[in-house]
Amino acid sequence: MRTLHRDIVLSVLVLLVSVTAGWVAFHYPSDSSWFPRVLTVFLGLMAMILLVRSLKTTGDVDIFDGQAAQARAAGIVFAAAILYALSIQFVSFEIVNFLFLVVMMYVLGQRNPIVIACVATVAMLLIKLLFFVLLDVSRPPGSWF
Amino acid sequence: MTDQLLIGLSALADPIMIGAIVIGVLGGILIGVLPGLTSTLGVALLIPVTFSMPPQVGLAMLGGIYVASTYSGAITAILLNIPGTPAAVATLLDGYPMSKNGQSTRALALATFGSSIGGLVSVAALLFLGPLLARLSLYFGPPEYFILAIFGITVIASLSAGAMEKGLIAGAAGLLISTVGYHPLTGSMRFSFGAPALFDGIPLVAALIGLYSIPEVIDMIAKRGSIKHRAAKLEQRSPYSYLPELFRHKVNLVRSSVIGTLVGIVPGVGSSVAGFIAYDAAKRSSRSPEKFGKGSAEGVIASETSNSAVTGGSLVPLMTLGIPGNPVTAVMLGGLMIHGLQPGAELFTTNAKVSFGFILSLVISNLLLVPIGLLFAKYCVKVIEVPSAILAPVILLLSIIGTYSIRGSVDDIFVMLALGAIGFACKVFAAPRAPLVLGLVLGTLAESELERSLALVQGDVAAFAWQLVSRPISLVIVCLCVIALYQGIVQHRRHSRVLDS
Repeated sequence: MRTLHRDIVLSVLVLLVSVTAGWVAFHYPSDSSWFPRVLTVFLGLMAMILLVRSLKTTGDVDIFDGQAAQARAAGIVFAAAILYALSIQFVSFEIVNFLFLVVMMYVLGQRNPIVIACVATVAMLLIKLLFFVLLDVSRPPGSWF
Repeated sequence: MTDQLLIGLSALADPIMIGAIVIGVLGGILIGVLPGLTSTLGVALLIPVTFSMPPQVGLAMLGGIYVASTYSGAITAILLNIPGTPAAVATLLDGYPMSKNGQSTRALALATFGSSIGGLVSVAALLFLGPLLARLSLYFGPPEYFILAIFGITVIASLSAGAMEKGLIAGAAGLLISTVGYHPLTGSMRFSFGAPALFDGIPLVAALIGLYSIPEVIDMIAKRGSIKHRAAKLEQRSPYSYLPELFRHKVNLVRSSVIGTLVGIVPGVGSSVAGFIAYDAAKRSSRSPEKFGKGSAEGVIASETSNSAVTGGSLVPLMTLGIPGNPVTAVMLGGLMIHGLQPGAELFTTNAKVSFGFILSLVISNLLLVPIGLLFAKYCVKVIEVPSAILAPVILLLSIIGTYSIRGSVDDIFVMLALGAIGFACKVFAAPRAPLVLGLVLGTLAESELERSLALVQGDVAAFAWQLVSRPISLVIVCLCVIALYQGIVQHRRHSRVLDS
């Protein structure tokens, strides 16, 4: 059964979340926390049912196969997005967008500099036109350049 | 009804509205042909763009995306043997064999015409059933609304693929996340941990984008590379010359449209199931069932008509009772809410211009599918070859900017990423995301109606439980919840038996 270990890990994680959230919820005034209290108890119960059922299941335990590539990709996405969000507070939006696209395309294996430059420029201009000209969204606060 | 239809028509007279529909249909076709990009992601990414538009224009664009992306998965299914969306899985059974037999234009034309007709029939059903069902919502009090929200989450959670417990965990987690911020009645702060960005709760659009775009971008990067396939050549004959052939399959068209619409109305089932049910029904009633799987035009028509008919059907429970039937409509519910619209009777009376304008815009979307779909089909095959090294950064950037644009807040980007991490975890642990989204969207409604119900009985939980089973409408919904859970258990046991064998 491919999903055995995965379900055990999930149920333990959910159990931890429900205990933590429950601990916080039970410290709020009862008239404002009735709903979250019920939900954390329900989450905990469901996690325990899943845990018991997963432990009872017998069979192969090869799990998380092929997840290394997913973990690497997740690392790239979250690191890039966090860096982007931090940068637009200091550097001009156009520069950050252009650099973000150039670096991401390069990291993901695109090696043709003309393609990279063209895609980054066109995408940056289109996004600027759509959000900041047509939809009149306020610009990010970046002020260095 | 006639007055409301006229009001809706007047909304359609706005050229901006027509422009929005055209852009929606074009964008939907693009999203549908790119494997990995789903209708849900398309609608989620577009919500920020529609935010500053008048509601009817924004919704028309979202509707165009939904209709077109459901259809356009068929283009790659027929030409490349790759279903662009899950809805098109049944289409490739006969669509690709038709292409291999040198009939790709015929297959594409029949699929496009079928999709358009299926979509139009389902929109007619929405137009006539919607206002009737919406009137029913006038009989709903706080207990009914509370149990209705729970029903919506239960049915999607219990019918989700895999373990039912995971679906219920996802639904409860969504509800729990929705409690972040001020309490809807007392105003007490919960789970915000002093972060001002969380005082008003989790921003819905940021959450929807995070849950649906981040996991897809990660997946795209992990399975890096472009798809290199030799597309079947389109024959020189005009696709419109196949229109008379379509009408030789009237029974198939009607049956598949009805199946799709009914499947759409039932929450939690989905377009791919509708496609297979209609395909099976067409095969059973065909005079030449042996041709199915080898390039039968009947199979393509049945599958495409039916999966497109799901679109209008799934909007019936959404617009009347606020119960989304699938992840796309769950995201569309978010789209309605950010425009300050609430599903129910009021949507069809006070906001008739928005609701009827939106419904009639779906008619235009379904009609526009034919020329736009047939014109762009051959170019769409090229789009699929765009490497993920280019596509993934652009989608990620759009997700970030789209999130930022709603409130002009950089903090929202971090909230979006946090929800993206939860969405990614759902994928890793094979837990469904739809119940989580539904819990998040319906959470505030569920909690405020629960609190109101409790206030009506002075906080007596036993009296509240008695209310749920003693009021006819809420009793019916409680029974439906029990049936949904029972169905989930039966489905899960069947699934386990299949795995064990």
